[in-house]
Amino acid sequence: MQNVRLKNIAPCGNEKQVKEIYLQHAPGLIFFARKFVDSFTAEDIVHDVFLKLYHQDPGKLNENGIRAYLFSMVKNGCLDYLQHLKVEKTYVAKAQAQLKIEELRWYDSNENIVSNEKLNAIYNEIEKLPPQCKRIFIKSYLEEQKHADIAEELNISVRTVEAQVYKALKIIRDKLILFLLPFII
Amino acid sequence: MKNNIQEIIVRVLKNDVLEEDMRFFSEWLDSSDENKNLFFELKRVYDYRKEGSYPDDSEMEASWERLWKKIQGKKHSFKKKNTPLRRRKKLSATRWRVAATITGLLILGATLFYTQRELPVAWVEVQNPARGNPLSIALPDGSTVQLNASSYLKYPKKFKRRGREIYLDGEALFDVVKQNGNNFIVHSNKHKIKVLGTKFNVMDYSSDAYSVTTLISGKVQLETFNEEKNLRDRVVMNPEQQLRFNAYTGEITLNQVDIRETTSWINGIYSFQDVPLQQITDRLNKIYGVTIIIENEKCRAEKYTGKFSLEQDIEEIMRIINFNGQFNCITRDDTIILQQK
Repeated sequence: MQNVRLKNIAPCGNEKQVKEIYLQHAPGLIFFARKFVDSFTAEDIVHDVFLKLYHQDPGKLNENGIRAYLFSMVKNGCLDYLQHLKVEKTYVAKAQAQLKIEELRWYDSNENIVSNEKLNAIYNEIEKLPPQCKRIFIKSYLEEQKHADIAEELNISVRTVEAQVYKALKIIRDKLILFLLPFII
Repeated sequence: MKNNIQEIIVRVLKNDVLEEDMRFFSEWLDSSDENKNLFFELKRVYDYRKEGSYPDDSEMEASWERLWKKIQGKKHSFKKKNTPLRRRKKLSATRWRVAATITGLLILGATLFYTQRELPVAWVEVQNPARGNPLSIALPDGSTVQLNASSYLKYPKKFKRRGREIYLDGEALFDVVKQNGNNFIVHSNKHKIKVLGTKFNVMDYSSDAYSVTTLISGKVQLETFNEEKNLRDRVVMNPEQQLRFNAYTGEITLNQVDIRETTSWINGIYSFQDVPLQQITDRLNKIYGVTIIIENEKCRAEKYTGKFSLEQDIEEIMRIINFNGQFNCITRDDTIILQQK
């Protein structure tokens, strides 16, 4: 059965075809991997997945389920990397490393890979936040300012800053929950 | 009300968290699937806008070129089964992270995007792979950088009017031009170095627990940070001083050194005087893209003196280190294990 399937699919060995498939799927995969590992390792992990497929089962690259398959391979690559990573011995460092692993496991294989579209949807939601909330959120997330600095600048407490940031995240998440979630069957 | 979970969530996302917060948070997260879903969804919203981490078209084009080279390289190495160690390509992502892939220089301009309203900052990233010769890079302000093997440098295509800031992971020799009191700042894994105009060498690999900074001329100010990213120490260095920083203990040592030995790497020469073997192999790992494991702890601290040249291959260097036949050298792919006899 497997052989028949492979024979029916055009061989996927040429540069143009592989490139097209790579450019279609890899940006979202690299973006995903970068949440967990540094940007070079992220690319390496994605490359390894494509290399393996290319050399072992190039026919698969043309199949319908390829996106989900690539995603789960990249996820496993990240897990493997994190589990072998040497972590500093402090409690916080260890807990943060463990949190990354848990987050990876939380994603299931049918996860939709992100596209630029979704990023724009977030920006649109930021625009709609209440004024004070939006102001603080932009400073904290888009401008990556320290919360202590924001608090001083706006003459409010750090806890207020944190509460407003949480509020903004929660609003965006609640509005986009259907959009951000994987396919709903 | 001291442990308000919403505020703690924000601190966890922002990576600005104390041990007490983290303990409380971990307990909260583990207590229900609902909490997990909530947190990871919030984190997803947060991550969506992480600057520049969604690769743009030009970055992907360069990324594809690298993949295609690997694809072709692998075909090639299949034919020649007994490729010598130093030529063998490394494909596992779990290994030394920058040892990967290509020969020569890799440049990609990554455009970071902020909001639609703000102008994007264009960055240039340079990665010199393991076994790469030192790379000479001219910065937009006329300063020059020599970048060693297994090292990474990121700088903007155009510096801001105030503050010239660049990022380094690895080793580089800087020659910074003076610019009317305009600071030049090197961000690296363990510290931040602020200068006006001077020449200095930085070795700060994120994979190492220590860093070494050597000042050749001028003056620099070096700042180290603790885990909460708060300032720990601020040291002003004078010429021919070398500062060693241990990130685990926070300890700083300042010595007078022969600067020729520190900078000889740009000519492909590495000299070590009474240096623990582990520190020598740390260096070899980066230069040759190998992983050397010294099994015996006592042997790691044993001090060695010697000089290597980039023209020697790793087998030859291992023979020199093993001059007394004190080790069994076991080589597996790019991993070399030194076993005490």
